Amino acid sequence: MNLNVLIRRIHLGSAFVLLGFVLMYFITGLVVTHGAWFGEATEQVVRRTEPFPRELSASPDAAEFAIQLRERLGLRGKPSRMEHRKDGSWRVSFAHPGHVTEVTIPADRSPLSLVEKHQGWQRILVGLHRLHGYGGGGLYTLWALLVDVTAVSMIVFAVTGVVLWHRMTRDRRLGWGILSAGFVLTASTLAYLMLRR
Amino acid sequence: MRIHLYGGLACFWYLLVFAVTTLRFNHPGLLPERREPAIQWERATVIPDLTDDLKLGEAVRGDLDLIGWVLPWNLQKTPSGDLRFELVRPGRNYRVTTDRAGGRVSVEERATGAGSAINFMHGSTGGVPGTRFLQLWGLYTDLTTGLVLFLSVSGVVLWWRRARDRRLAAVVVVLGLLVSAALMLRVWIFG
Repeated sequence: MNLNVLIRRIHLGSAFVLLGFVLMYFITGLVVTHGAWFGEATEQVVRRTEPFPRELSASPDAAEFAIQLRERLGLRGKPSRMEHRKDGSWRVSFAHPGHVTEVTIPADRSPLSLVEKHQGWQRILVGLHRLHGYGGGGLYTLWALLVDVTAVSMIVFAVTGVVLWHRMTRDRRLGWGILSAGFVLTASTLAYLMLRR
Repeated sequence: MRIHLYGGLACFWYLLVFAVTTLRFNHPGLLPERREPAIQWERATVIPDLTDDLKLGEAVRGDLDLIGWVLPWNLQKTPSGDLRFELVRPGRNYRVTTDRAGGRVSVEERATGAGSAINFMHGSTGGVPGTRFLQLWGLYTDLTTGLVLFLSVSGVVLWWRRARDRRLAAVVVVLGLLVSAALMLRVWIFG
């Protein structure tokens, strides 16, 4: 197979892997970076208590405790880290885009207090954009895996794109100019942040 | 084709930064945020007579030629009327204390490593208070966002024109988008 064809196929393949998530990231990114354009998100807060589920086998400091708690309480969302508070209670939140439930577990295992927040569409988009990291159950592990695949595909896509340009073009002055300008801006921004007192 | 080609070159460096920072969000150990040892320094200065603590903090920041956000929830007024505040920015944090009587400001400065600096570059369009230079990166981010959305469409159109089997091409694109959308809906609705 011709090398140009191979590179083009890799470029295309990585583009297809990227397409869905890149569209999502760059559309939801607008809400993250220009929140004011889209207005304030609404938020409905519901507070309630639930009896402590006695059948939990893990202790609050164990990783599986949050997963067990989520199942027993019929909650949804990716669990945060368990937070041990000064008064001896524990707190954990379960979040999925546009929805957060904070659960406080008193030290004496008396009824749990739950605060459920239902947020507007802006927070749903921001939640999709910011969802990352492994753990929290199969769905979130799959999501994290796709985020990794998207990031690696983006590097492959960008590099093969430059290689294709280099191989397809005879007069490369404009291309080198654009690439150099981008490099100077990226390197100087990083250097500015790292070196400026 | 030319717009696709040169637009892609314009996005190249941002896409690399975006990809590396995305990997870092998933794997925080990749470029960990560090707390370097603090460096102490002082500077003689005239501290302005402002009653608003936040404005005073921002004035001191300008006088010290520092950049960053004065944290409004960490402003502490001492009994002598001096101000202690935190100033944060990507790559560095400061703890600033004024000494009005001595006409000095003391600063505890701490570098936070490349991780926090590169995080800023993932998607910051607002810049950092005290400098206009970083607004350039914000412009680049906005330009790239628009270009990537355009290039996604132009890339599919270019490929569609060249595809030998357009039916297969359509199935691949639509199926890819549907699978991604289904996963997003699954996460949103069913968590």
